[in-house]
Amino acid sequence: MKDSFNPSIEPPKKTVTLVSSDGYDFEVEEEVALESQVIKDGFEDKAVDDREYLLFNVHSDTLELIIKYCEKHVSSRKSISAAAASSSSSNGEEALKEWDEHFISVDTNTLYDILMAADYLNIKSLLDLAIQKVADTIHGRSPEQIRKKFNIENDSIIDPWASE
Amino acid sequence: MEGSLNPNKKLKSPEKIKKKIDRISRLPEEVLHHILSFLDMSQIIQTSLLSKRWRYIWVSLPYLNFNDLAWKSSGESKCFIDFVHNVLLYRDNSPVYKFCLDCFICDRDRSEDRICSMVIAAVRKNTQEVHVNIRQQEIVELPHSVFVSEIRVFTLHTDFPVQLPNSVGTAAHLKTLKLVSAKLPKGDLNGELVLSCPVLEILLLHNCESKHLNVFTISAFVLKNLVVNHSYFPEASPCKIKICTPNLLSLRLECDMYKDYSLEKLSSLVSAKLQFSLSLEGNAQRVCRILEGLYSVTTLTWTTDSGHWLKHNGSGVLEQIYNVGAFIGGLCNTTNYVVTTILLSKEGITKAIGEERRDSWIESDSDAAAQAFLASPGVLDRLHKPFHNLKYLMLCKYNAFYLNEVVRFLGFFPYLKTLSLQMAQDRKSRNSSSGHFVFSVQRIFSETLNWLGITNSEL
Repeated sequence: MKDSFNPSIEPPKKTVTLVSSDGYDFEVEEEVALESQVIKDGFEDKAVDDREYLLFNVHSDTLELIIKYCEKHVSSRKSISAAAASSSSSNGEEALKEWDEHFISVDTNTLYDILMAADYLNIKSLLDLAIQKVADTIHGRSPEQIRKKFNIENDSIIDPWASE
Repeated sequence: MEGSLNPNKKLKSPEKIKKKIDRISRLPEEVLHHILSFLDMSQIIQTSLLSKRWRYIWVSLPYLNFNDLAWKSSGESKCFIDFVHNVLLYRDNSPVYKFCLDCFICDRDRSEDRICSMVIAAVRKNTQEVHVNIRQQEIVELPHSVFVSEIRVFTLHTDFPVQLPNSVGTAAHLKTLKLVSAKLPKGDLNGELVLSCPVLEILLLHNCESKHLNVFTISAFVLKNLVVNHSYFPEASPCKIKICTPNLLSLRLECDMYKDYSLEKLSSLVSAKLQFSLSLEGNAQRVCRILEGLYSVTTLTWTTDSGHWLKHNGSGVLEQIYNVGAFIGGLCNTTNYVVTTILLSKEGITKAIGEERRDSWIESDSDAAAQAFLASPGVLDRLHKPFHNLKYLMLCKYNAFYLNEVVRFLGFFPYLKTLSLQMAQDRKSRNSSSGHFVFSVQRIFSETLNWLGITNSEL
C-alpha cells in the first residue's frame, strides 16, 4: 500500500527532448535544458507536448558532454543555495570550479566542439570556460608554437618568423 | 524516460578524432575576439603573423589590454607607449568596448601628454569601459572629454595623484566609478564639488585627495554602493562631505577622513560599515553624527583601532555616545570591550558586528583600556532599555573572563537569535585558546537567563 503510494508524492519531472545533428534523442530534465539561453527564450510559448529541439549544429558526442555540464551546474547550484539557506559553510563553489577545470581539460577538437555548441546554445558560463581555455593555450606562446598547437597552416606570403 | 542518454548511442567515429584540421581559424570573428579579449595586446599583435586569416583579426578587436610587463622585462619599456599609440592609430573604426592600460611611466617620457592622448584616443570611439592603472611620477590631469562620452565604467589606480576633470561629476552614462589615489576634481570657485552622475550605481573613492575642496557632495540619485576610505591619511581633510543618496543600499565609510560628515536621506540603506579611530580628537562626535544618518540600516559593522581613547577621554566620550541614543556595551575583552561600545540606537538594526584592526601597539595597551572601562562607573547599569530588534550579535576578541558580563548583557537583547563569539588569542598559548563559536541563544543561554531571573517572552 505504502509502496504504491510513495512514487506519486514526487511530481513527475518535466522533460525536454534534444535531438543531435546525427539524429539521436536525448531526454533531459527541463531545468537542465533551460541552462541554454536559446532554449529558454520562447520556451513558455511552446506547447508542453512539443518540447523537442532539433540541434542541427551539435553532434551527439558533444551534446552528451554539454548535458553533463548543465546537469552538474544545476545540481550544484541547488546544493550551494541549500547550504547558504542553512547558513552552514560549504566549499561548493570551489568544488564546482575544480570540476569545471577537469571538465574542460580535453583535446583541442573536443574543446572546439564544446565551444561552438556553447556558442550556438548560448550557455554563457560554458562558453566563457571554453574560451578561457583556448586563450590560456595561446598565452605565452610564439606564433610558431601556436600554429603547431592549433594546426594552423601558414599561408602568409611573407613570414618574418621563417627567416629567423 | 529517466535516462538522459539514448541507449542506441553510436561509438565515436575514429577518423574524426585523428584528423588534424585547423578549427580555430574557422571560428566566427566574434568568438575569436572573445578569445583574444583574455590576452595582452602585445601577444595579440603577434597572432597577426599566424596566417592570412589572422592577419587583421586584431584590427577590429573591441577589447584592448595594454600591459607593459613584457616590455619592461625585455628592457624596451620606452617603446611601450609608441606601441599603444600605433595600435590605436592602425586599428579600424570599430567601437572599443573595453580599454585597459597598466603601465609605469617615468617623467622623461612627458607622461602627462602621453597618458592623456592615450586615454583620449581610446575614449573617442564610444568606449564603454576604461581601466587605467598607472604609476607615474608627476601630476597628470585627465582631459575633460573623457567623461563627456558614453563611458560606463571607469577605474583608475595610480601612485601619484591624477587630477580628475570636473566633468566626472556629471558624466551621463557612468555606472561604475572606482578611483584609487586620485585627486578629486577642482570643483567650482567656492571649492564645492557635486557628484551627481544620473545613472551611477557604484562609487569607490580610496585614498582620494580632497584637501583643495571645501564641500564635497555625493548626490547621485540611483547610487547603490558607496565606499569612501583611505589607508594612510594621517589627518582629516579640511573638506566637508555630504552624502545625499536616497537609493543607497550599502555604505562603507572611513569616519576620520573629512572635517565633517553630513548624511541625508539615506532611507534605503541596508548595511553600513564604519571605520574610525576614536583616539583622534573630535571623532566621537563625528561618529555620532554619522550614526544619526544611518537610521534605516539593519546591519552595522564597525572597525576601530583601539580602546586607546578611553584612557584619555574616558567616560566623556561614552557620555556623548550615550546621549545619541542607546548603546550596546561591548562584551569582549580588552580593546574591543570599548570597540563594541557603540550605540545601536536605531530601531531597525538586526545585525551588528564589531571588528578590530590588528595593530600591535593596541595589544600592548589593551589590558589597561579594559580596566579603565570596567572602572568607568555604571556602564552596564545604564543599559536600561532593551534592544528589541537585534537578532544577531558578533563579538570579536572575546575573553572567557567576561562570561558573566555576557550573560548579564543578553537580557537586553530579548530577541537575539544568534550570538557569535570570537575568542581572543591568548598571548601565551596562541594556538590552543583561539577559536570562533556561534551559539544559538535559545539553546545555550535560556537556562542561564532563567536562572538570573530575566523574563524573556521570546526565549
